[in-house]
Amino acid sequence: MPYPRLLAGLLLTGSLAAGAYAYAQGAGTGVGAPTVGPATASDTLSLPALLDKLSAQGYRDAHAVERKSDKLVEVKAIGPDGRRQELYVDARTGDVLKVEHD
Amino acid sequence: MADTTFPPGEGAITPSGSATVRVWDRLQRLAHWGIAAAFLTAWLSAEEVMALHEAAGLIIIALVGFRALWGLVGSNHARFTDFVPTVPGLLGYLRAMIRGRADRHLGHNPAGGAMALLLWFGLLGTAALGLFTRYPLLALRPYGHLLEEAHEVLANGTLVLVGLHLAGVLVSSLLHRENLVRAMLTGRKRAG
Repeated sequence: MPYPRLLAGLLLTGSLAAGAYAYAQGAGTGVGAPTVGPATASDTLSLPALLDKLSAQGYRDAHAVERKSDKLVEVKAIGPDGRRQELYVDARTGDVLKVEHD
Repeated sequence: MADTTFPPGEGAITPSGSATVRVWDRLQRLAHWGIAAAFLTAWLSAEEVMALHEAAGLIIIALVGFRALWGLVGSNHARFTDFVPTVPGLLGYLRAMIRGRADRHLGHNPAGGAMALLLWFGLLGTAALGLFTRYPLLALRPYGHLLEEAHEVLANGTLVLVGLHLAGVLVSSLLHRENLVRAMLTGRKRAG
């Protein structure tokens, strides 16, 4: 009967997938910032919180979000003027440090 | 249940004179108690000590994964093919259990096997949802609170399963006059 092996395979696959996701997100290293609750100024913003800050500043369609370091995040987005831009964003405050037009 | 697959030398005689056999292998027992300890830790640290909570969740993911692998390549009674019940087999066993006539199994009985599966899926699902709550994908970001809710519901459901698991262990232990908790610690059961 294939079911027992299928079930074991499902569990194993789920575990490996979750483990890979945890590894990719840096889980357990204490590097990631809390996504629940307000972040303080000294914390690195979570990417969702950072994108919220950007959209509050009039940027939309953020994509290609890349965390360059614990201080800097690179984002491509449509600016308030409707042009495609590449932004360098302060990872702690969400302030746009530098704008490059595509 | 007759079990003739143990190699010679696996049996032993206890000081009281009754023969015992090895049922649960060492890694399987380590995984069992490791998962139990990690779930207890995760439960107690929830919303209190988040670093510990997260570590416990990651350990659960790893141990359930190991246990699944061990369920493919481990010893006799550790294998999924040894204990995943058929639906009629499970229902029949549960009916017999209610009447107090459930037969004794050296490995998992059908209800125990089904419970182990439910627990592993519940634990892995809870841990995975916790992971997604803590590190949401961008696409899932609008549903953060829903993820957290689902994580908590599944955690509560898994706790209920743990309660049923303990009840099943107690009932089976009483029914067959053996200490199943000690068997999971020592790995040995009465042969007869």
